[in-house]
Amino acid sequence: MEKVFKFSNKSIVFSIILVLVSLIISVSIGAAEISTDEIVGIFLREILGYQSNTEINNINKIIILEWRLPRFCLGFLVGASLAIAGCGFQGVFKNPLADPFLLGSAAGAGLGVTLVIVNDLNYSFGIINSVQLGAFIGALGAVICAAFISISAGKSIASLLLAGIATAAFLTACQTYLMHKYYSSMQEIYSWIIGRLLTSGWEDVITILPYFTVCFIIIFLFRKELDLLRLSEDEAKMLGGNPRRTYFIVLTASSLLTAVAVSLSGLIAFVGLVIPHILRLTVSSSYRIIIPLSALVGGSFLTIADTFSRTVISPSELPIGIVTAFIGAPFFAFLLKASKGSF
Amino acid sequence: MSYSAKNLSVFKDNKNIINEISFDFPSGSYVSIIGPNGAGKTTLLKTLAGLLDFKGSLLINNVDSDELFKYSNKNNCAYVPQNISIPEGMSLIEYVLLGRNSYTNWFLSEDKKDYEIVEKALNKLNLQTKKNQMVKTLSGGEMQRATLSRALAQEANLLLLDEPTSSLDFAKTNEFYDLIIQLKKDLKLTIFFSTHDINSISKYSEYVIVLKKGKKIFSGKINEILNEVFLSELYETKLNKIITEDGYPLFY
Repeated sequence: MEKVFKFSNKSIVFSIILVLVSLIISVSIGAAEISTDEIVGIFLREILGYQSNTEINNINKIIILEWRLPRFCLGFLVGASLAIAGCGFQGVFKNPLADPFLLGSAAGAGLGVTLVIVNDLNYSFGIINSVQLGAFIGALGAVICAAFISISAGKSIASLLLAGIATAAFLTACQTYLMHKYYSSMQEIYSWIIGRLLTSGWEDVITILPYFTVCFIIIFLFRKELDLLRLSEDEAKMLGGNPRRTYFIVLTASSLLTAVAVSLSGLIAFVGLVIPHILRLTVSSSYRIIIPLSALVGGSFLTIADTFSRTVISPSELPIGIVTAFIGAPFFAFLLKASKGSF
Repeated sequence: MSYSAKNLSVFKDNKNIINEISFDFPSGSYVSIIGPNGAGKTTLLKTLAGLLDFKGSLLINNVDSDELFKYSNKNNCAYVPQNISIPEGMSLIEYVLLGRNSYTNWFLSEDKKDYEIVEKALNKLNLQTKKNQMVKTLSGGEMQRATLSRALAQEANLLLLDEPTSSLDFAKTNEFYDLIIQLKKDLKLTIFFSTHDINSISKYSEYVIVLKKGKKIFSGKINEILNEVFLSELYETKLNKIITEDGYPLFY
């Protein structure tokens, strides 16, 4: 019998092409016009170590290697993180509308950043600044808070969902109050909320990489357990699954991924919700397939959106959250229509 | 080999749902669990499946089942709940392959042997031609066969079915019972089966456990309870009995 859970050739080829296209677009398009020959020359000489006769301008080399390439890598890792976290949340909550911000991480991160900005806390902890730290602590703190409320309310997955909604509502109220009280900081806070990928080089990439690697491996290892959760909890247990362990570990890894992504890029909506959805509609509904493909497609999607965000009104930047929704929403609506209720 | 319980009690929110039940049935038996609504039928099945904590002991061939569950895995036992989940976007073959989950590990997926077992299970239930169909599009009867097929893929020898015919029409119900009997014979399965369908179990079942308000009223050969006085008392309503042409009792 032919293997059932396998990546189709089409999906592999498409994902690889998408990653390559997003890489090419990201490094070749920008405010500074750099010729294709020069970009290829920089890649050949500086990254792959080949000899190249192309004349390379030093400024252009810095733009490619120290600005566009790290920004591509950061965008890719943030997009992949949000998409994988989206898979984790949708799998655990058995709800295709679940997104990585469901347990209050967005509201928590928003409050954390607001507190840092309104109190003018401009510190730096190694390669992490105070805004990133505020967002990370806020996002993770909100999820932990929701988890504690849920534990006291019966430990069910439904109570966790409701606790997440209550926590998010409370933290958003706190943040809104602070934004009104410190009116002058509103624009700075708002620009962070909408999400942006600003990077000062490879430091942010190095920050997110270990979290991404560990959490991706953990969530991927739980791919079969997430498929079992598509049945009832009792059936999953009888088929050798351990739903409680899966809830705990997958939600922890997903929340950690979300917190790191949010701390580096602000609140980029839509990627975590829609990428797993699109793959479910077009490739497979099994988490064995969706999780790895989400990483590739989510990462590519965000880097393409980022290229739009920094070129559409160049030299200014459009917040990336606007671009992800602007590109993704119509495409998603088209797919939903095309699926004709099969989903 | 035998399946037995000694002083089995189950509590939920400090309420006694199953109250000191004991029984003993030989392996390969077809045991129906009957009783009015709220008698504890589903709770008993879930307890046998190892899904609920209990006091007392469950013995499989005189060995404590806690030990069995601890040192082997739960493959020995397949439980089909009353409300089967029908996952979106899952094909029948994917659904049945879930039965092989316990045989795979964190890193490796199903191998050739797993696929052969699944193929065999689908053939046994006449579902081979529908293997690529989405489970959502299967009829009620086909879905019941799909769950049985998954149970066979588990290579379980104890089958626990919670009111599996409640959503089937007359013809499909009879087909389902015939199928269960055939599987029991072919694969030497032991079956515990909760139901309200007294007329069918009088024809198909060998043993019965009668529950009322969490207590065992009777356990043993089914013939002993097939009288209108006992069943009227059990369900607290007037029941009459006639004997059909093929010799089975019919209650109405």
